[in-house]
Amino acid sequence: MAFSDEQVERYSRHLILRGLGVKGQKKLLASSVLIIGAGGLGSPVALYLAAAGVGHIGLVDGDVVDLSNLQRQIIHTTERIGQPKVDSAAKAMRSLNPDVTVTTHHMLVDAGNIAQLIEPYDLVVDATDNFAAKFLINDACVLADKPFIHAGVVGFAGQVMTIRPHEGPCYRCIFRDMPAAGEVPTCRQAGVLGAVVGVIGSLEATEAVKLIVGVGEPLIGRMLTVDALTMNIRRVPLPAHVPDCPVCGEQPTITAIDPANYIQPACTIDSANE
Amino acid sequence: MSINDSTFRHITPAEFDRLDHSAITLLDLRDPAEVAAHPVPDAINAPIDPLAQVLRSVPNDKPVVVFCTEGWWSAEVAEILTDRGYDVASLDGGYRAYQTFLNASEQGNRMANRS
Repeated sequence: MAFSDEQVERYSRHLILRGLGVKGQKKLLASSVLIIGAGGLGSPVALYLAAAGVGHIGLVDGDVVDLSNLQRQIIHTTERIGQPKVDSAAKAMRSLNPDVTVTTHHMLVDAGNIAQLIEPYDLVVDATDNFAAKFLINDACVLADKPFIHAGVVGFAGQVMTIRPHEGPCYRCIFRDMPAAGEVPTCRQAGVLGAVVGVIGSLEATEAVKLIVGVGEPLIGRMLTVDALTMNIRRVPLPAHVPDCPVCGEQPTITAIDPANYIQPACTIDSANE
Repeated sequence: MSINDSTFRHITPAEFDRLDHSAITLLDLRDPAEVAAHPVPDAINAPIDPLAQVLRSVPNDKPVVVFCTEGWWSAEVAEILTDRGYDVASLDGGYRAYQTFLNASEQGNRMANRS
């Protein structure tokens, strides 16, 4: 493929970056990424992947833009309050980079739709804000042998890891079951610092670009944890292989996506609106 | 569509030295300051800004020889031009390698003249 003049100019800082270059940019333009969640984490992921020239980006989110989002969901605007988040995000992405094809899915990801949603994409990014979705994304991606990037953030802290099924541990290898509702606070309960969400989401975008281009060391078998209060940033080594993992272990018990597996136990908070 | 479609030629400093400048377009990717310090006659200067604009002006009716300081950026630009149908060669090792070649042949000449 030949770059247009506009592409040479737009991506010049990628082309001149050793480790990325022309071949890396071609890979980005040919790649497809599904971002599940167009909120706090989704904002920097969507913006940076669009800026980088990922050729096809899918967005999944069932929510509409709300005033309380704007403290951290920087892809949205005050004027777009009330609009579906995927539409609002797509608008910002297309205006940043018209090169990118954005496909919007205005829906909540669930056990019934996730397999079809992820199928056409090379890579999935977990930009969700609840445990049920994180476990669902993990299981669906492992079962589909689809690489994905996990992240979570609350308060002043967050974490990121990359999962390439069977090449390293999955999310369930490390966190076996969902915590009971209330055990781990959500952003609505505990709050979250906008810029910290930006840091974690930007790290997800960085991992995505590295995976697509094939440069550097991905966070496979390592969890990056960020404590923004102390600025302790650690790469926590994880076991390379967990033989009794229910989904990617030697005798998996999760071999299909069963909705019953993704109901947070003893739910006292209505997580359907998260 | 293969990511690795493009192939372009590589030339050595010795081959660079023997080029007939009238038969090719010479594309110098170095920063203007470097070019001013060590100019190459007949070369078009195409620094990173505005690279796209300068590339547009490169004629494609004769071969292009592209070079930079170290040889890796010219390989990238060679790929861009090859994708656009140009006949391109990139100088391996860049102007730095050429400078080394010049110094070595100067020394060689001096030694030959002494004997």
